[in-house]
Amino acid sequence: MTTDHEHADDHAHDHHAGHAVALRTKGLVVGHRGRALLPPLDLVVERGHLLLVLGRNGSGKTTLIRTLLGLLPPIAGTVAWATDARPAYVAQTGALDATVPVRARDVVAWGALRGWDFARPWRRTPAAAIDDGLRAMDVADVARRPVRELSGGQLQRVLFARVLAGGADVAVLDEPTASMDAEGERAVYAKLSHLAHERGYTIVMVTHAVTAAIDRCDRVLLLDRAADGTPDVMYGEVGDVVASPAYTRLFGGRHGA
Amino acid sequence: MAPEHGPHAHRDPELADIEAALAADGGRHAPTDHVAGLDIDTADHHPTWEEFVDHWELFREPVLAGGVAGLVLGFLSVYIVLRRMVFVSASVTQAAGFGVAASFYLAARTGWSFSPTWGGTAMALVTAALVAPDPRRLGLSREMVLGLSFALFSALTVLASASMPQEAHAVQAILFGTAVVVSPDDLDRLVVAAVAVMSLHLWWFRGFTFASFDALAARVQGVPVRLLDLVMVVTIGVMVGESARTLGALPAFALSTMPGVAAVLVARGPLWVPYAIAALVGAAAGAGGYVVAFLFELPVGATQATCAGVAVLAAVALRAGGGALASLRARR
Repeated sequence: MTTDHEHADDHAHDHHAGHAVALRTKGLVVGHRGRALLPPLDLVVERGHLLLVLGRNGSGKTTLIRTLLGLLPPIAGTVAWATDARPAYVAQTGALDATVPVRARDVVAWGALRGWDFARPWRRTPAAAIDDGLRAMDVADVARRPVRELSGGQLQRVLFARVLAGGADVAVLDEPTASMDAEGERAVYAKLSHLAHERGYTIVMVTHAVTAAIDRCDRVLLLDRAADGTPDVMYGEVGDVVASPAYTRLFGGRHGA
Repeated sequence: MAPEHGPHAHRDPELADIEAALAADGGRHAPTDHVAGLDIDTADHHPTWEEFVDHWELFREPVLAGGVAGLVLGFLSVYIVLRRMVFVSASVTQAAGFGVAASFYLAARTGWSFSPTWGGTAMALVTAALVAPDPRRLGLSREMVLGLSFALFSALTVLASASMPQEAHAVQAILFGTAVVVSPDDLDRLVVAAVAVMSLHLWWFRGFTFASFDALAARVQGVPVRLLDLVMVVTIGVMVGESARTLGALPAFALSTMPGVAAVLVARGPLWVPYAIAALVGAAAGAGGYVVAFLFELPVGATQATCAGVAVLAAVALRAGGGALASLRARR
């Protein structure tokens, strides 16, 4: 993480509403080349919670999650992860080039590469961890198939199996169900909800599939712009956000998307 | 003592060797009747495999050089193809060719002689270092930088060659490849570079693959993607530069792209399989191309490049055949 990234544990106790905190931002301003895309954000994401990030195209969703992960520097403010947080990133399925002749199992094995040991860079992911990850995501049967032969839903679950096999406890997902049909979306969000609420994973997720995801998450960050172009950001419980004018403007109601 | 001037003043022995061999060889063909010690009446004679075996000691260095360069360039070609770095390879190869031409030019014009090997490798490394960083900060895309360097080095090489007619033939031979004059020293240098590059790539294989094919996820997990990318480009620069000097720019470029295409088309199984296939295809094209050029009296570099191309066509046919078979089975 950059110097602007701190540890949540360093801040006044890492609890919020009785839950341990995985991620906390203070006055975080994200953008490109010094130009802010969003107003300062104060976010608290508890462990085992699923945060949904919604917004129009170009509203700053991807910039935000890349800043949270340390891939982009913040313009101002801080990002603080829990000291022992082990984040992993799952990009859109399209980010993994279909021409790469890599098997699902090899993609999962990359999960164990965390940090870099120049002397022992070959260390392997234990086979049992790979198998467990693949089984947990119901993709053990495609483990030896090239990823280019997998459906979008299968590939997404393989990428999440990598998170599990690598021992990450925080997953940041960018459009995990892009190019999936409605049934595939529902299956993926059900699985993610299970991982967050039953197994304690912290999940931050950008999506356009509001209908399938909204009932599975704990909190929502809604990024929008008012009629005059000024950023309009709302962060809170699902019910509060869904009842807001911004949500109605964007999605037309609870299941409008 | 008055300083020597003119094209042959202070000639690097390496340059003299190249020119002597090319003078005998014409710079176009594999060394059959032209190589000292191989006394064959050329009027109606076609070289044979037995002659090749009998005179193996004459062909050992160029064949091994082709095989070693093909093996390592073939391995690297999987990254070059899959990461869409073909233009990087083309630019670095062209820069290496310019480095070789520049060393001839300097020797011819100023009497200041330095090894074409160092000229080629230095230019390859400088170009690799220039194209490795993200040029978007300068408002340029990588394609712009690569296109510029490719066109510029191509033009400079032609200009350098045109301004020294005596050496133009030797430069041309190096650019398009003859491998006629691979000396034990050439081979030693190539093997050292090959062992260093392959050791590093095998040692860091998992990191290179993760950083190459899912860079953002790798960065989040703390893998030093930028460092690995830099090492990748530099090792490609070293190997392409050394191979371009030893075999010629054309075969160096061909061997650093086509084996990867063939391997990606047919590879199945663990991640190391396409790399192994590409390395084998590269080695076969590099060494086998020389043998084919000898037997059929063809230009060596072009033959090596064509052999690599034939491997790609075979891979396309294999894949198409496999697809057709799968369709037939599905219909039944």
